[in-house]
Amino acid sequence: MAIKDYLRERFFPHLWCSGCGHGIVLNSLLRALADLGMSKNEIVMVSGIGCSSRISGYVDFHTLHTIHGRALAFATGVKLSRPELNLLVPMGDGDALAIGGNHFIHAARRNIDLTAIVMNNRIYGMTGGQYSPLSGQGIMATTAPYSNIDYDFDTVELAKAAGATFVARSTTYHTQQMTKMFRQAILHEGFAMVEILSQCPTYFGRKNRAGSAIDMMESYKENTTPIGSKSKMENPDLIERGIFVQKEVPEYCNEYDKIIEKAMKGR
Amino acid sequence: MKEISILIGGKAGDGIRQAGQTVSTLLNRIGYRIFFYDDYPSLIRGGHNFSIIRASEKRIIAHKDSVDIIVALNKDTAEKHKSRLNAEGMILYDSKAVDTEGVGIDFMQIVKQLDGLPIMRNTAAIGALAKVLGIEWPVVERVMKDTIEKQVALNLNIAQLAYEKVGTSRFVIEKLDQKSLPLVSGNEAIALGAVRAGLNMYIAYPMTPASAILHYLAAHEDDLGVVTVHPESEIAVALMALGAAYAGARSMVGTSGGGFALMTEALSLAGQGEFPVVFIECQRPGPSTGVPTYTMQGDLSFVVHAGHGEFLKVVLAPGDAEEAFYLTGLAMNLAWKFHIPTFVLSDKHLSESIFSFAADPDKIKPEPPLIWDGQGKYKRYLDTQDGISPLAFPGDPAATVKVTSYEHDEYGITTEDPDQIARMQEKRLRKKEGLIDELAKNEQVKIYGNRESKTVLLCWGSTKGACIEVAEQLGLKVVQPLVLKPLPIDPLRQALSDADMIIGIEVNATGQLAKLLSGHGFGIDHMILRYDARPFTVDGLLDKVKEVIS
Repeated sequence: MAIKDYLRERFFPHLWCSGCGHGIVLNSLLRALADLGMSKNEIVMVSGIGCSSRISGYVDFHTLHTIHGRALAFATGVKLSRPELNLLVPMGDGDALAIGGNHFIHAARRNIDLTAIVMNNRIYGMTGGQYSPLSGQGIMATTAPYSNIDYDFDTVELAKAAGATFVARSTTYHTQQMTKMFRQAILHEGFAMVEILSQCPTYFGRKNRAGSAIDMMESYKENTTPIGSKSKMENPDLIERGIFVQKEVPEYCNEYDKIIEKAMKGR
Repeated sequence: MKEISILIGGKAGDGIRQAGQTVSTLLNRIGYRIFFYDDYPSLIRGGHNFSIIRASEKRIIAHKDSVDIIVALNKDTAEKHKSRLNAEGMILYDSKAVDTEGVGIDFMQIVKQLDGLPIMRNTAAIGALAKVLGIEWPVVERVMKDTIEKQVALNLNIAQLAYEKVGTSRFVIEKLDQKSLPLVSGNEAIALGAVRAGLNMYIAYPMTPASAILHYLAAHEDDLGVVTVHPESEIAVALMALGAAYAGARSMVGTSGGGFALMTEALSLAGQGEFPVVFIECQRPGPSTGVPTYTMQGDLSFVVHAGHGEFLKVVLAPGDAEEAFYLTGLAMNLAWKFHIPTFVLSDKHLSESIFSFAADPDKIKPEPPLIWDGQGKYKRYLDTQDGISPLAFPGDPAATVKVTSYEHDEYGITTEDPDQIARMQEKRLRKKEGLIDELAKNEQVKIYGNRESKTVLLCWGSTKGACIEVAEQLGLKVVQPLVLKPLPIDPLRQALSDADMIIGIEVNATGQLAKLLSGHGFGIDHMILRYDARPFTVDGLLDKVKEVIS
């Protein structure tokens, strides 16, 4: 299927600011779906609220644009009643890990077959540049005008600890890698989490003197490195990219079927 | 009237509820109608638990403060409840634990003699009670075989030895010539009503007094076929239910006030996105954690007004097991017909009490929703004359189903256009006309007692049981609205127009139904409120009503 067919072009131009990384994420995601030859009707996209969540308005899939932080809970309900559908759950950093943090760890723990995408721009864009649990110390934000004192989560470590069976990270600079990761995440049977570092030049960039969108993307190139690379050993501050976890563990809906079979035994 | 009330009491962990249920079954088997009330603290072990089994030749849905027999497994039971005994009443007690007058038997000695477990003391008590009641041994034997799951022979021996130790019977409980009915709790009736209306998925987080719905449906996954899920919080519960409904599953959630507080966010989403979901709210005393294992009708205002923004919802308030069954079925069908959230408002007293159940299961059928005909491009929020947009579900190759929490156009795409916004708000609210017509096909306000009386006892929910019996004794009329939102104004007006005196009777501190009705021009003359976390009893309420009307 042509990528164009996945889009609802009449809603373009999209509402993301110029230079925003979220459009690149959408691009890579659609390429991954096209590579996999998926039809529109086998996909349900569930998003929450925030800049990232507006992604569901631009795709011609079954979509649920739900409420802030709740996309994973909602998606779990859809998946449980229609396990044959492919669930994509794009979320922002605040969406997934502040208000939605509880649903995030529990969906991971359950190992339900969903693809969670955390579009991490380290800031709340839609509501005006407040810090998020992924901003980290020293970051300037509307709610931290003298710099942030909160420590940040490491999304990858959090997902791993919570039991996610596919955990990966890339950036908007590394689009080929991102597309490949999305393909693998979608094919993975179980809870897959892909974190994408995505630039917000409007709020994060301006408040933190991070330069233009291009400067921010270049910083992704400079400040990240493949998992286990030599440069990581030399410079521990580098952020690793790649697939951290990929393991086969019984999936929730399948396990549920087995329980029903067990309960029905002899009937 | 042939009737008897028995109180069984002991510590938490003594198996009091179980013993009470077995006694209920015993009396049920010989043709009596049962009402079973369970009073227990929020404890796993210790404290004071008691159950009251009231059995009568006629249908009853309330208990009395006064009892004929007290079965005391501990000292507390005898001391706390002695004053309840009727003139002819007696105490059957564990002579090792209690020092009082009546029939004392060393239950533990019997258990030890037969190498039983300490918990089997309640089996001994049941055996002794059966003899006190003059019930023939073969009946006891059959009931115990049917109700006891483990070590049947041992339990039977213990019961029989205790039965024999009593010697002579103190009461003569005749076998009645009427068929036994199933004994069903309010929560079970709710679950069964939902199942009859096509329930596919029940999602809940544990919270007393709603938890038993989840336990029951989970235990019956094999024969009722309902998928049950217990997720991380009530927030997740409500969202999962909405997600399931979007995908075409008939879903229901259940909780008490504190859990429902967390669900109100999703409730508004159900309003905006037009999701069919059934909410069961089993009230308990609040605010906050309140008194977790007791009863209150304190969430009526909360539930009726819950959710930000303006949207349609239905609130139904059953008062007994049959109503719980029918109204839950109705709630499910209304949710799917109008794509709205619907509520069944229960409370601990209804949910956890046990009733002789005489509902007709064929009165509930799953009514299919309006499904998209496949013509043209699918619009989830098609603006129709009655406001109901045909449904399609994800996976449908011809439809793209887009729903959203934002205001939206007919396709489900976010909009900020003023005309679109007004149009969609009108579309959703327009469904109210059809909803009111549909509700009018059902009984919305029940009337009991003396229909000609100008004195009305106005009640809702589980309070009806005590009200009906009081009204019958005093020749008064009872009015019980079953639908609390949208309020059935005309039927209420008809029921109340002749009244000289309306007495509002509620288990809360502020008279929430009275307040709701006063907003529609109904004046309530007197209030009888109880807010000590206990339900009204027949004799307790009788005295209060007499005071008001004298």
